[in-house]
Amino acid sequence: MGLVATLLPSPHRLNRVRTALRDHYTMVPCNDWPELLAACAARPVTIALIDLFPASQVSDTFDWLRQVKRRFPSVTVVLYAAVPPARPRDLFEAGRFGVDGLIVADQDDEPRRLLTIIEQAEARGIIELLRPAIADVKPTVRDALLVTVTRAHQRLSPDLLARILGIRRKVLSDRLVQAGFPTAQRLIAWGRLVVSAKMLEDNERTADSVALALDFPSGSAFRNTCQRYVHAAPHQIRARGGAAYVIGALLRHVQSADGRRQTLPRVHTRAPRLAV
Amino acid sequence: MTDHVIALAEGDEAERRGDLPAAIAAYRRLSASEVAAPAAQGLFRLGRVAWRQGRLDDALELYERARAAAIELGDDDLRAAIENGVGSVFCQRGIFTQARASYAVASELAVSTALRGRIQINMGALALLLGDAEQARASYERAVELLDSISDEEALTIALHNLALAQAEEQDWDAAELSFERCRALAEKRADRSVIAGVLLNQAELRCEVERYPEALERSEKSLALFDEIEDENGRAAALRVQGEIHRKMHQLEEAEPRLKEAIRIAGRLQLLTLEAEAARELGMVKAARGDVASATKWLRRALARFSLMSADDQMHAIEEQLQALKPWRPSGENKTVVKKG
Repeated sequence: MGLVATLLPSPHRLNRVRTALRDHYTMVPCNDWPELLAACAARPVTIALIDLFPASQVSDTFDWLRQVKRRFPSVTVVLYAAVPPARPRDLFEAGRFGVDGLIVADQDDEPRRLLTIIEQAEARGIIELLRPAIADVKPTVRDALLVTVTRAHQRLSPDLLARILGIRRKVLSDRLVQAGFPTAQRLIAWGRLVVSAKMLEDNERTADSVALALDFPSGSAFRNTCQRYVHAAPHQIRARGGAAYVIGALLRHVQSADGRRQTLPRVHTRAPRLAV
Repeated sequence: MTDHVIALAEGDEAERRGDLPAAIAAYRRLSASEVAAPAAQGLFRLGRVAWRQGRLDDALELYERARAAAIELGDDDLRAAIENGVGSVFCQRGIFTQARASYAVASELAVSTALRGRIQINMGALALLLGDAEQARASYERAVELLDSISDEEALTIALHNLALAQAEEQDWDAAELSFERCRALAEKRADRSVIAGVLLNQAELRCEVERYPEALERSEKSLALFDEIEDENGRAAALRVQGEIHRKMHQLEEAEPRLKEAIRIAGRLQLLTLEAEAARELGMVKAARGDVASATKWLRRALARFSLMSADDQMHAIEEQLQALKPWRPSGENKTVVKKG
């Protein structure tokens, strides 16, 4: 599905990853942080899988991690650590630095489980695409949309969505309406469509396999949902850019509902300057 | 000089040279004043700095507080400046109806020529963003006239820059060239390297449009060097994209490719969607010109995905046509992508 750059000094763990990701991802093994940064700069890496605690000072590795997150915000970072030597405090710190996923050695690294964690982390990677586009949306609405995407593989309901957000269903409905967003039920469908479209970007996947992976009742139910929401068949969604196309369609829907008019953002040297 | 006057002067000077933390410190002192008028000015200026920093919610909140103070003081010019600021927040957020309403109120209240000129600049920007180049040009021409009359060079530079953009949009190349030249002269006088680099790049694009490629290349190189100097990565990526296009049009495909790849890399890293899409499309055309259909398809698809995200229908259709053109016509109706031989 994507390119995974690894920084795993332990050959044993590297082999486990290789076994788990075989046929699903292409791996780019790196020996040190500069090599990892160079790989991210030179190739379309989507996930960086790293061990923060090989030998050097943890504070140094956090500096490197900060660099990765600053220079390549679109790269999803997954930590692969043994506890110990990693302490809960270190893991908490890593979370603050924006690590998107965690694999605990000897607990989560059975191949199937490891693959699931990587796939879920990649789903969170879609969030990077989504986040700048919804930066101005009210926090509750933004969180609702993000939850529908990150939990697209679960059977969400409007009640469950509201519970996850810690608000009543009525409050959620009101806030979605005020922001020009679809109802909770439809928003859940949009979230699943965004993730489906991301999976469709992989040429190997068929619409039926995507439908199956995301628990649509059938392939034709999935195709109908695509038509109803995006007015395009799965192959057209793939051809028009996958997840980006579906997010664009959702934003167009929202913007026409709240009176915004979408214009193409200009390259900054061609943008008119404002004077205040 | 009173504390207020010193704080205001310090803040304005810091803001002018781009030292926004120092400007905030000075304006905070001003806004904490017990005298109502300077406190209101301080709040307005804090809002303006927040807007410059992209903290749009903070900017709106500060403008709200400044507006309440200005109404109490009966200071119409300050109210107009605040409404102009609020309009700019909405404009940046793409909420154009509210932006227009704010600018209309500002226009009605504004007394000073400097402020009226600035409001005209913003109304022009709004029109340009909505695709009405004619209306934009009219606004900018009014702005230039007003600001020329009081020699407000800072705002005049912006007005001329935007006027040139509107003229270029109308394909009035000669007029655009004149406006850019005047803008550049003013920017050089004020040592504003960011504006100079931007103007040079726009001039390069104009020359590329009229097929004066060597001149276009020369200007784009100067622009790139300036963006390098001021460490403006965003500008660097834009300049590299333009250079890629110029080289492609000069059939120097080996020169075009690395520049476009670098532009795409920077644009991807900084999440500059339009630039990434434009550079990917350009690279797709370079690959197509080299007969590498597989790579051309890959890059054009990437451009298509980025334009899709922005719902840019015109660009999407144009790229779909380019993708279609990469496929050979087959009597059976089947369309298969041509695979590069050898």
